Amino acid sequence: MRRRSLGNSGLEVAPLAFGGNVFGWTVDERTSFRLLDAFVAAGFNLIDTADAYSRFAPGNRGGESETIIGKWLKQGGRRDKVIIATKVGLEMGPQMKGLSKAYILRAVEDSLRRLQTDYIDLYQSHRDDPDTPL
Amino acid sequence: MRRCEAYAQLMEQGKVRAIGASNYSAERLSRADTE
Repeated sequence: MRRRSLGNSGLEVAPLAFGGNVFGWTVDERTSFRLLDAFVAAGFNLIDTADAYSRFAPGNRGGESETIIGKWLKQGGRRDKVIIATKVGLEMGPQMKGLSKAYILRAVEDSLRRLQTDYIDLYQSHRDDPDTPL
Repeated sequence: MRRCEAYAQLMEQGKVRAIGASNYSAERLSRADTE
């Protein structure tokens, strides 16, 4: 699979990303693992998720998607074979949203723990926060 | 506190390799580059 440079980030990605907002919602854990295995086996590498996925699903609290990706990595998914993109900023609970420095530094630790990794390849502001200076 | 300080710190610590922005207007993104 031919890789492309993602802007000037230094990341090299296959030209199709896996949208991780389905994990823990319309796709259960077992099927998620199979999909991720097939995705990587086909030569793709970019997995996009967010801390808040899939809080929008009834009964979910957020973190479900990152948790499944973390379990997949733990049970045999190769961390060095994938580019993990996640996001911060959407509401995760009371007092847990936005892009203040303190909140970002707290939220990233939660994402790293759920993803069972010590680094995130691409960390994105999920949406603009008019209350915090750029 | 500026959010870019948090991101810069995380990149220095090696916890984040690159940063990005989702759902931003082009005008805000270009300001982030210059402010």
